[in-house]
Amino acid sequence: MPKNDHYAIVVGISTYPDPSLKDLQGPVSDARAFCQWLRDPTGGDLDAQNIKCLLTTDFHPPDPTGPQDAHPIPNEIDALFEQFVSQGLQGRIGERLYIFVAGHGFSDTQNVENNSLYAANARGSFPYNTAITHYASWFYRCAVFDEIVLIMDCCRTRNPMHSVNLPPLPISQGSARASRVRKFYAFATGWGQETREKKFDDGTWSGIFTTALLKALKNTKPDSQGQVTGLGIKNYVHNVFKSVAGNIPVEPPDIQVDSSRDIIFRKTVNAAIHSVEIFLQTHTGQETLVFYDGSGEELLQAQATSPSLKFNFETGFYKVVVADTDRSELFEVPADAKVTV
Amino acid sequence: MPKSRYKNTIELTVQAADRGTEIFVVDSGLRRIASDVGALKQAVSPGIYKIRFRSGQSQIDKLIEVKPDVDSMKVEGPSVQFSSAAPIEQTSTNREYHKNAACELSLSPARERPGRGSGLFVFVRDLLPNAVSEPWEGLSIHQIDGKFVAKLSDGVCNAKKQYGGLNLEVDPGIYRIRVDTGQIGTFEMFAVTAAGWQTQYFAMTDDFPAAEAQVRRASLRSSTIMMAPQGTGYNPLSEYNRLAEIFRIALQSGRNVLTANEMIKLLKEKCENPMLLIFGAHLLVRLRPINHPLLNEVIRNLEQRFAFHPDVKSLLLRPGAGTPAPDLAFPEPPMLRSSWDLIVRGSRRRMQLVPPGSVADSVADGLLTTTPWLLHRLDDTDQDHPRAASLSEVRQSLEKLVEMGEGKTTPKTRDGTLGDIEQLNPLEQKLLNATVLRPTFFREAGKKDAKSGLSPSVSQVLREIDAPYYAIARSVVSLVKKLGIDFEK
Repeated sequence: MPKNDHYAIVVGISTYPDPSLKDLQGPVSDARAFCQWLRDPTGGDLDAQNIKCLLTTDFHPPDPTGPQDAHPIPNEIDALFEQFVSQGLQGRIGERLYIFVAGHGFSDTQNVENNSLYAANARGSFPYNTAITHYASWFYRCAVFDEIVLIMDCCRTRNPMHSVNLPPLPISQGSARASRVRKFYAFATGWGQETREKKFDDGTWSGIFTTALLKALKNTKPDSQGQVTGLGIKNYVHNVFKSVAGNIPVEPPDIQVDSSRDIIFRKTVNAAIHSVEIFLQTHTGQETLVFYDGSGEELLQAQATSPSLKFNFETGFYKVVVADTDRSELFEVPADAKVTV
Repeated sequence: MPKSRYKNTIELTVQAADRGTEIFVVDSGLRRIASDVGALKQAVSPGIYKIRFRSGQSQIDKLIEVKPDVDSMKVEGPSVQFSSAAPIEQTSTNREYHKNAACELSLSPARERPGRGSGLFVFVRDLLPNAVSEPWEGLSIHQIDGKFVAKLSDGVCNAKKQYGGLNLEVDPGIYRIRVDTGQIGTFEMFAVTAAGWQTQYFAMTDDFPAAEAQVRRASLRSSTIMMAPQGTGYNPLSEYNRLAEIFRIALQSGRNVLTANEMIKLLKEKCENPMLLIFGAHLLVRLRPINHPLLNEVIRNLEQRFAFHPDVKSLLLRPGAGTPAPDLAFPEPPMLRSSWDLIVRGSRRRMQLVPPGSVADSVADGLLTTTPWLLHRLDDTDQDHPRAASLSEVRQSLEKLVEMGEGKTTPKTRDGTLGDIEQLNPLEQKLLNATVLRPTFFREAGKKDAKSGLSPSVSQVLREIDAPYYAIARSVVSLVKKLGIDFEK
């Protein structure tokens, strides 16, 4: 059964006609990929009706002739939040709100907590933008949801010529329940830093951070209680981030988790399984492969019936040994899909 | 991570190739179990671990197996190749032809001698072999009062190898490194030269998006400054230069890569690298608690080399350092943003720290919030600065501006007359943001009246603006004028 009290706002802006902001390739596909994870019964498991998604491609093609007919503009982004704000004034709406945005962004020069998404019609002299964190902060303060998951795959550079456009939210004294609201805030990079996208081997462009995050959401191994927590997601992202980035220089993401009030993303008895292909440098057919897990515990033995064999493993570190030889190899799952021993 | 079946622990020692390389140890459950800088010791259970070595923006991961039948294990890390504007050995942006040219040119006789006593070597390069623009384009050097000294194009320029280098002999002092990007504007940072030392400035070119086309110019933001005794030239193999680069990048990205013990070691080694010590001292200021005796020792060490260096003197203004000498003043800006922040903080208590009308006072108008260098944008209009208001006048004006933010008055900028906002310099813009444009009132389709509750006090506003007092005072006057407000009415 989908989680009817989970909601999501997803924005992906790829087209920025003003020359001061280059077009991006990844945000729309990243937003779609995140929506897909949200709908996936093994992922976010949201009712499709609870997902509000706004993409550049909702308005284009044809491509805009200039910033004057580029979308979405700030009002269109604000409209996604408006219903939750109006309802939120009356009280709690649901258990969890996901906010995912991808596009060009920047940070307030003075306030590290104010991060904004440039709207498609942003220009150097008129930097139209929406302070996404301000919405998240309002929902948090008013305890509109029990849990807030904020994901921003945007730059957080500081531009003194651009001011963060704080949305016109109603003044509220906040809720006494605010202290109990759980939050998971994930920024693609640290304050003042840039984030990057790249073309992956399958030919698709994607944000490096979103790619690492989606991997984490799908593959993070559950803890001893079978829970995939925000901390687990954070550890996984930091672990794979550089391998996802490849040769592109990146600053580490900034993922804020309250370990005492962590969010549980998934409950499962089974961890995600990944296929690993083992190649034998020399093969006689007599070799026995012995696998050990990260604690040094022997996992399994297998006869090497061919020079290339496939095995399934959970996320972690492993060692494979060719018995009675000095041949062995350490490998990481899922980073190393092919291992030669 | 599955629990280890072994009861014993093994002492794991990890040694990085560079002293400023961060080391992280991650277990099979992907949990970070230890971290340190340069070297690390940690008792671990037998098993498989990932060791991550990070320098600058680059990192290398290495899987290791800690076997149960040993008492200890040592791991040596590889040299992490990070990006640097200087062609340093073992960096990802080193090119042999740039490195050789920089070494040669920095030792060649000064092409121009606008002064005596100190050296200034400027080297700009482009990693793209067929870049459309030339790396030396738009870069010039000026005295602190703005007087032209030289253009990079006056030096040795090699279009094929994409570099430009200029060696100058100058009077000891502070110089402006200026880059004119044309339509985007003209930007500057500052470089200090000292008697008997050669200041070595390195930059790489980068694309700047402009309204009509990309502009490719030297990037001040990612540039670097080194210093070497005159006559020794640029040393791309120097361990200290490499470490200084790691420290500079750490200042930029906000990472802690220096411990007090490491600084003590550097002092004991009689490290002759002023920039390494300056970057290091500014990293130490960020650590809590601040090690004042150690910082005082670093300052004494640096003061032996420099008669006056704003990036050294600014350290006297760090929190908890006590009252600085009454004659301490900063008429000239520092090189580092972190120095500027300390000076601004100090100017809250003593306004004369940044004298009105001084160069330091004037750069506050066009300051960019970049790190680690203090960058500013030159004002096109070369306008006359308005008089600086008195403290009480400033307070009154700020109070009025905050009242406007509360909706008690409607400034014309809110009516969509945004043309005025475009004419504001960054400091005026910041003042406007911190006062009038604060969303402190209820704006839900006129359902309720404007209501305050979150308005900032004048002190808060002053704290938030990263400019010295006199610059704020002057900008309040000019902002009020540009907004067309007459508070008397």
